[in-house]
Formats: sequence, structure tokens, C-alpha cells
Amino acid sequence: MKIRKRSNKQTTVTEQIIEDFHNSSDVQFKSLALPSLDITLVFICDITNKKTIQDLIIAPLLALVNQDEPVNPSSIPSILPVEAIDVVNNREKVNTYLMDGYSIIIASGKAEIVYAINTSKFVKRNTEEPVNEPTISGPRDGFVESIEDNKALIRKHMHSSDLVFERYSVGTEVKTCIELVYLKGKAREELLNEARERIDAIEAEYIGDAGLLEQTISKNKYSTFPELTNTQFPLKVTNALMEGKITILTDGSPTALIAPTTLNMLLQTPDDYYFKWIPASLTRILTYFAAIISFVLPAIYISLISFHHGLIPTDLAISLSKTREGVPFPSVIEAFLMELTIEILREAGIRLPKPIGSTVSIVGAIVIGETAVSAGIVSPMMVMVISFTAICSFTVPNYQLSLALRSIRFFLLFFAAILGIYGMLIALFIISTHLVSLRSFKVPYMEPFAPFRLNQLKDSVIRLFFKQDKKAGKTHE
Amino acid sequence: MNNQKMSNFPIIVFIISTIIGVGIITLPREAANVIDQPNMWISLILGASIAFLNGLLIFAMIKRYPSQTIYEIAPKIAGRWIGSVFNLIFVVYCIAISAYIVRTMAEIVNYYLLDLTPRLVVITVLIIACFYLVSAGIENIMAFLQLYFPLILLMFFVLTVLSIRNIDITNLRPIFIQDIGPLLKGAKITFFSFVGYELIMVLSKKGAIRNWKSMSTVLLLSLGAVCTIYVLFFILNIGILSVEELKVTTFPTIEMAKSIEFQGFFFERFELLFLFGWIITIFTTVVAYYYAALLGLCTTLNCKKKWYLNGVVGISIILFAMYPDGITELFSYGTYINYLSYASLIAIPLILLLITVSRRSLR
Repeated sequence: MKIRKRSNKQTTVTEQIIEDFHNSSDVQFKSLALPSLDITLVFICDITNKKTIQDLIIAPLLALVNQDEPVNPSSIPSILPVEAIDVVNNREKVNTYLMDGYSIIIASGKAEIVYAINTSKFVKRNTEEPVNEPTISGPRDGFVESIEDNKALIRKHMHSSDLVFERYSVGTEVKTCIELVYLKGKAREELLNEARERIDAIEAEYIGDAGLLEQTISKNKYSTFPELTNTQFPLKVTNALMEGKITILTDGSPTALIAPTTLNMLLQTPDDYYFKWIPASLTRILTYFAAIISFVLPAIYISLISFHHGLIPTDLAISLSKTREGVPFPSVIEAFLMELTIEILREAGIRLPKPIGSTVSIVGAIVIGETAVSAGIVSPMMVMVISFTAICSFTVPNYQLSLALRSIRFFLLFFAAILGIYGMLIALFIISTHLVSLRSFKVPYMEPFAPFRLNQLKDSVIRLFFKQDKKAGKTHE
Repeated sequence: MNNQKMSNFPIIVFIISTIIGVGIITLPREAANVIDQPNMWISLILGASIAFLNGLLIFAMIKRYPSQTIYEIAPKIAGRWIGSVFNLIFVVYCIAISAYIVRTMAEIVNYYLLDLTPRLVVITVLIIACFYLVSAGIENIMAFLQLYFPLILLMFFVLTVLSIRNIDITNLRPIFIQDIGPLLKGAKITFFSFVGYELIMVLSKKGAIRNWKSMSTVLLLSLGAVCTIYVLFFILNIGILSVEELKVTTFPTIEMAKSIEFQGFFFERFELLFLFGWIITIFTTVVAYYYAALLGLCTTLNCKKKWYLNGVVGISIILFAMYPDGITELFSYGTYINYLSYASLIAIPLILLLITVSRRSLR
């Protein structure tokens, strides 16, 4: 769908539209003959509400037919009972309005005058609880695919006149509407400028989803870690806005992007804030622990088994060696085999429709848990380690972070297989170096820990009660 | 005031992480051989005091040239050529000391963890990680050190708590001995285990270092913290192993950790657990010196292509580290490094300070 610019002024607007939309069947034209004035109504039938067109445009205009008075084109806005009427003369604008579900009125008397009227009716989903981010007691409304509804959701959760939406349209070939959301006064001007710069610099042909937008505006192309948090929860967005962060909404995507992101932020869940601080802190600690386990455990197990038997208590070592009896592979191969199986199972579970997905998990559980062990391909301990790792990685609240940790796990496993725990330490040094040098919108990724910030530490591994949170926010400003 | 605090903390962490290194494992043996008294930890405090005075001397020199590192100050004071020679001495010192540390670590890793892996591999892997971290710049190095600092402290704390039961008080007595001579002699050795604070000469671009009062607190806090940890470990070492045994064990602190018996915990051998924590401290020390050497080369040669020089520093550390044949030879090279430390820690700052002061007074 290429929109070419032509300076040919001879063609009428109708002809232009026919040409630009290549005679597409859903673009419909309706001519009305008024006294001294020909009116053509253009709309795309599938995204417009026919009843609205009939009641609000055609009926009032047809009423003029009987009047016998000559109709002045510029008086059309006052005749129609619809609220939004825009005068448009730009060819590209006409096309954009059409695609947004507007009806175009072309009044061709001496000159052509063009009006656009909002008659849009898009296919929409009701707000539902986001599937990826289940919550126990928080609000259950999630973002949907329509940007207007998403904005409405944010407004609903945040009654503040400081809430600002900034509209941009991005994409070189096909335009997509995105909105920059922030709280005036909370978000730093520096951060806003950085975001605006990055949005202006987008040179993609088509941004169809928040995921694509995220990749185009993030600067760490070679990192596995997400530079922006994606969420489908309006409340998570409003919380982030209160902390002075910015959010980017993409039209047609139920995912909002929050920036800047820190590792700490990715490990938080909205539920942490709904419960009292002690259980919430304990859950936090658990999440952190599980996140660390999810990439470290296989590497530790491999290095213990193949290099440092001495670290394992003697009794355990004996029973371990008994279970490993008859397993033909070195433990590294064993671990890679199991990891691979788990990852394949996980992918299969995501891709398959739900009814079959459960079958896969049952088959997987039986094949891995029972048969592989009794067939002597893997040892039971390895099954335990790998499945525990997998379960731990499910506790990571952010899916993208859990993907990143999955890739790190293999990196660590590789080093541990060569150099034992020493290699694992080196691999950890390399990963920490990477994490420490990461910046998300100029904010250090490991913020409360790596450039050590005492006042932010109370909402990291633990979550202290809220009274102090407010004070901390004020001094931080 | 809050701002000041924030900018001092990374420097304290940097200095502490730099100082703690090989010394914590080998120093008890060296000290036992020279001092031969159960109260030899007193000479640690003496050594720390000397280090503190030396740190003040260094600071008195760099304070006169705010926002400049030693590599920029030296040519300015002593003339371009002599200044460059000073810089090169300092660079060689940094490379030599990191090579020494890395080699000692490789020996220990080979002895306790990976007995079949070639030392070259052990060293190279560590240097590659250093290469990566150093190329990330000083801000990120400091952030990295802050990330691992709590881990190091936790490791020391756990080890202390677990081994404190094994202390045999008779090994520690007598505490009051009249013979001060060996203690003073020992201070010469213990002083070198506090080496690392001289890197404030490299950090001096930071704003916080200009302030005399804050700087002396930084020095006092970091040296004090290290001194506390060292004294604690000396007491543990002497109490558990006794002075006579310290003299003959190559790596006393590890042997001390071996004596921990703690049933019902998942790990059985604590010396390995201690080693993992210790490797972190080694890494932080080497990174700091690596960075100092690289910065020195870059400033002196006025070279923009940091990648090349970074590689040069890394490879020369590996070559230096592989040069000694065995552990005895390695330890004998330690004395040469001590001479280099005298030169770069005391001589260079003193000469530079004297030149500036005499110039000022002539005017």
C-alpha cells in the first residue's frame, strides 16, 4: 500500500481515492445530488458504522434536497449533527482519515471541499485479565488492542490533570499511532527528551506491535535483557508513571512499554504491593532466589558432579554415584539433553492449543520423569535439578527476563562444563559486567545494587512499608 | 551532604576491593616466619598505620592538581621525559602486581580446584573477563565492585562465624610480649598486604577526591575495614593453626577453612566455598590494577585505540604471570615487586611532592 505524492491537481478527490486504494472493494462511494451541489460520501465499509452514517450524515443531507435553496458547501458542518468535523485538503490526510474509519464528504461545487466525520467501528475485544500476568487480588482489567481504550484505562486508574499523552505516528511505509504517556512534574525532562529522540529516530517500515517498537527503540541490540518492561496491566503502568517513568502505548497492541527498566523492576509483581510488607518481602526474596537458581543451578550441579565431588556431603555423594550408574553419557551431555527436552516441551506447550497442550505436558512428564530414567539415559538427580530449574524460571514475573535468563543458563553451563565452578564464576563475572554496563534510557540497569542506592533499596529484594516509600520518593526528587 | 556521601562510597568500595587479595591467604605464613610471636597481629595494625600515612602523602601530592590522574600530573611536574618514566614505572608495577596475583591464584586453583587444567587456561580466562570489564570503563568497574562487595563481606562473615569455635586459646597466648623488635620488622611485610590504596592516584579525576577531610576519612575507613578483617583472620589463623604450623603451610587461611566441620549443611568442605569467594576478591583486585595500567599506557602514549592497548596489557599480564616456573620462584619474585612498590608508592609521590613544594617556595 504505497502512498505516492503527486502534484497533479487536475484529478478530483474521488479519483485520487480510487487511485490510492487501487479499487479496493471495501472502499465505497455514495453520491448525493443536492441543489447546486454534488456530494460524494466515501467510507471503508468494514470499519465504519453504517447506522451512524445513515442517521448522522445521509439523513440530514437528504433533508436538504427538498429545500430548493442553494446549499453553501461551507455550511455543511453546521447542518450535520455530528460533533467531529474536520476540514481536510491534504491527500495523505484524506487517506489516513479513511483508514481510521472516518467518512469523507466531498462537496464539489465550484471547488472541492472535503470534510471528515468520525464514524469508526473497529473490531474490539473486551478488557480481560492478562493471561501472562495473573494476579491474586489486584484489578483484573488488562489492556486491549485499541489505543483509545488503553488510554481510557490509564485515565480511569489515574485521576490526575498532570497525566499527559503525546501522539506520534511512526513507520515509513505504513503509519502506526503510538502514544508517549507521562506524568508532568514526575518524569524528568531528560528522560522525556531521550524518549522523544528515540521515537523520532524510528526508521522501520511498519511497527505492528509493541514488541517491534521495543526492538526498534532499544539501544542494546546485543543484549538478551529487555530494555523496556512490557506489561498488559494498567495499574503497573500507573505505578511506573508515579515513579517518574514513561510509558509508550502502541495502537493495535495490548502491551504497554515502560522505560526506563531496571532488573529490579522486572522482578516485581503488582501483587507485591497489595499485601502487607512482611509477606510481600518474603515473596520478593523468594522471587530473587528463584531467579538466581533458574540460571545457576544446572551449572553448579554439573561442576559439583564433574569437578568438585568434595563439596558434596559424603552420604549424598555415594547415593549420587549410585544413581549415575549405568548412565552412558558424561553429566554435561546429560544436562544438555535434559535442558533441550525441557525447552522443546515448553515451546510445544506454548504453540499448541490448550486442550492438546495439557497432553504434551503429561507425555513430557512421563517420558522425562519415568522412562528416560528407567531407560538409563539420564540420572534421576539430573531430572530433579533440571525440572526444579524450569519451575524456578516460571516464577520470574517477566517473560522476557525469563527468556534472557534461559539463554544465560546455557552460557553458564558451557563454562561450568569446561572449568567447573571457577569457570562458572568467570562466566558470572562476564554476565555481571554486561549487566552493570547496560543502560536503559541512561539509567543503570542494576540500579539499586550496582550503583548502590540506599534509599531505593527498600523496594528491591525486600519491600518495606509504604510510609517510608513516600519519604524516599520525595528526597529522591 | 547526601551527595558527598554518595560519591565517597564507591571509592571506599573500590579501595577495599583492591586491597583484599592474595594477602589474606599468604600473609599469615610470611608474617609467622618473620615475627614468630602469637601476637603478630599487632604488626598488622602498624602496617596499616604506615599505609595510612603513605596514603596521606600520596593525597597531599594529588590534591594540588585537582581532576587529574597521576599520569597527567607526573609529566607536568617532572618534565615530559622523566614524568613518562615515572608513569611507565607505575604501569609496570601495576602489570607486575596483577601478574603476581593472577599467578598465585592459578597456583591455588590448580592445587585445590582444577588439578588437570593448565595454568595458562586458568589465567587466560580470568584475564579475558578482566579485559571485558576494563573496556567497559571506570564507572562500570565501580558498579561491578559494588555488586560483589556484599558477597565478599558475607563470605568473610560466614567463615569467621563458622571457624570461631575451633580457636584454641592457648595458641594465642601470650598476648603481651615485651619484644617489640620483630613486630616492627613484621610491619615491613604486613605493609605490603595493604597495597592497593595507591590507586586513588588513578581515581583522582573524581570530584570527591579533592576534599582533604573526606579523603582522609575514605582512607581511614577503607584501611580500617581491611585492617579489621585481616586482624580477625590473623587471630583465627593463629588460634586454629598455631604459629609453628603457620610457618610451614603454604596457604594458611585455606587450611584454616579446612578445619571447619559443620554437619547438616549442604556443603561439606568449606575451604572450597571460601575459595570461590576469594576468587571474587582476586578478580576485583586484578581488575583495578589492570585498569590502572591501561589508563597509564593510554595517557602516556596519548593513544586513542584503547582496544589494542587493553589487549597489550592483558597479554603482558599473562606473559609475566607465566614466567616463574614454580611456586617457590613465584614467591621469590614477590620481593622484586616489593621494590617496585617502594618506588611507585613512596618514591614517586615523594619526589613529585618535593618538586612542587620547592617550586612553590622558590616563587
